[in-house]
Amino acid sequence: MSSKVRHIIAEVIGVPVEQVGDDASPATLEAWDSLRHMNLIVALEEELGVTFDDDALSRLTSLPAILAELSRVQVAA
Amino acid sequence: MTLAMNGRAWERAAAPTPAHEVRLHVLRNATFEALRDLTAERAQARALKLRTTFSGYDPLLEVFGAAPDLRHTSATLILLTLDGLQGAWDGDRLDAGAALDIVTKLAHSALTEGTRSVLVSTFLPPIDAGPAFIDHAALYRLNADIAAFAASDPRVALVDVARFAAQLGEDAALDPRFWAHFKAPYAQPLLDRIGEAVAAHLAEQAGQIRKVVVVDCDNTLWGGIVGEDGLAQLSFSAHDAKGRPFHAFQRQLASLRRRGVLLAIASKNEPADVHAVLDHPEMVLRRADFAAERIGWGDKAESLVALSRELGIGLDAFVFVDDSAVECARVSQALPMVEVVQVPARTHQLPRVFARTPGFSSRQATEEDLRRADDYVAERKRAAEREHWQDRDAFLRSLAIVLSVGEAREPDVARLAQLCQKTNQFNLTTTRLEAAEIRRMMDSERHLVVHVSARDRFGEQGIVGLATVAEGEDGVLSIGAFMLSCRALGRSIEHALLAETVRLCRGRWGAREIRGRYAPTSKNLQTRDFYGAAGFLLESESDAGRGFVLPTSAEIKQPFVHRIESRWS
Repeated sequence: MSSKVRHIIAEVIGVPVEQVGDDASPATLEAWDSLRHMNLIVALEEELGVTFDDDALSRLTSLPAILAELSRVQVAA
Repeated sequence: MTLAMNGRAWERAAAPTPAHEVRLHVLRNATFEALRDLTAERAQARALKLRTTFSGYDPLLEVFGAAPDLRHTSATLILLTLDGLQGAWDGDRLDAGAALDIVTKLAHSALTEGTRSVLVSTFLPPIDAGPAFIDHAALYRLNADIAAFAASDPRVALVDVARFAAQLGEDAALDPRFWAHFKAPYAQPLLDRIGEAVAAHLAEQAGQIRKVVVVDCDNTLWGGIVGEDGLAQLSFSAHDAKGRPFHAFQRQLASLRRRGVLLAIASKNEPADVHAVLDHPEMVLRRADFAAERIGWGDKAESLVALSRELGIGLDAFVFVDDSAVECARVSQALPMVEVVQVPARTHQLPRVFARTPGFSSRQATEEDLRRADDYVAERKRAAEREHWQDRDAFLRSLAIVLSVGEAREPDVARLAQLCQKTNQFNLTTTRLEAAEIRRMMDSERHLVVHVSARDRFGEQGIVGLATVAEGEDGVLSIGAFMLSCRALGRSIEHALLAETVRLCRGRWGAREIRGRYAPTSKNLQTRDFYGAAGFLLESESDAGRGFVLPTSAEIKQPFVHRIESRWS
């Protein structure tokens, strides 16, 4: 799951996947702005077949946060 | 400023890349950045390379504060939500007048800053109000006023967001989650439609306009097969259920014809059978409505090529309508530039076939438009005449052409702007001047705008050519735009226009050198040597084109000298 999410992040943010480290976030990737963040949410939902909760949307601003939320959603499902 | 703009327009047209670069600026008060990629994709499909910029979230600040330079901007889209639109919506009451005022102020300001066109959009109800919104009368009034504003100015066009949303339904059009989190109100399907409308507008502005509709006959113009069922069994009457969709479709074609679109027939039939149907009193379209026809048993792709040659209009301006999947596939494959529309199997959907076929001009028709279809009938007679005359001069004399050529005046402006937009073949620099720019040049001492109108014994063609001249800071005279409608080609009218332009230059500025440019595009190769053959000297040559200069005392070489009268219209 981690590798797939990293690839999605790389594609949406527009950086090589090697630059998406374990702690990837807007702080480590300059191109990760609020607009790309919107695209990222759409891409994650489409690619992984999940729908994030409303209150999760603005929390998902790092790779660890996204992975944590995904495991929570998928455990619940 | 105008001179510099012309120079840049020329460089753009001459760029070796096939994609035409266009810029879009969005004046907005919510998050619409998703439009950037959506619109770029749709523009790409029309060979346009699009770059989009966005205003801040308070577009009025930009307009009344530091206005951006929009001189290179092809179009400015005004896209606003009523939510947070100060002065127009206070949470309870919609002030339609104030909202309209904001839109028109933004539009005028963008035009003043140099954008070539403005797209205004209709409003949706305030999103946060939900069902509590009851001020529908004010909202309809506002949207009607916005549509009327767009119709009142040729530089302004409408993106009917409210209609798109109504077609999609509110649930599909809005995205409450992204609205709450990112201030991004519209869902993908609505943004898709907006992007498509914007791209279609940019394509039209870049001169990509569908000018010809070629229709099949059996089960396209009418229901049934004339060669098998016979005239009596065909359906095209408005008074029976089977005929009604065909009647409606014919009325749409008739209305396109009135807007200047040419109609033509490509049908596998006996000509006499088709003509008998077209002569039937209950048919909306009659023989005289079609500018050309290919009725026979030949290949349809070849028929289209022949029609293109006969009408003098490129195949990329053609729409082809046929009920046969085989014919549609054949034409799509052989002529990918033609827009192919297949008649739906359920014929009640026929009146909707053009709903997803954009590309007809949305501009108001000029007098010439309304006359154009008749012109082609006259043109057919001219061609027949030509066969009787061996040499070209004798043919031209037989036409009894009379020209009016001279400085353009206000009533000419709409047609001149349209000529700039539509002329691709005999166009030296493919400079797409807008009406406002032409007016500025007409008012300026440093510019000259020259028109040529033509008539002959078969009819009147109106304005068929345009030339502009600019005097640079250094006193150098340069011909900028120079073009002749494809309907007037081959009659040496271009030489008369050039000779008169030179004469007017010398009258105003005395004996000076005059420069001319040829900027190549995929369509104007025939003009490559025009200046050279007319007596200009080739000065420079590069990928960007050729530069020519006419020595101070040189005369324009005219292969045929026309009779010129003072303006008759």
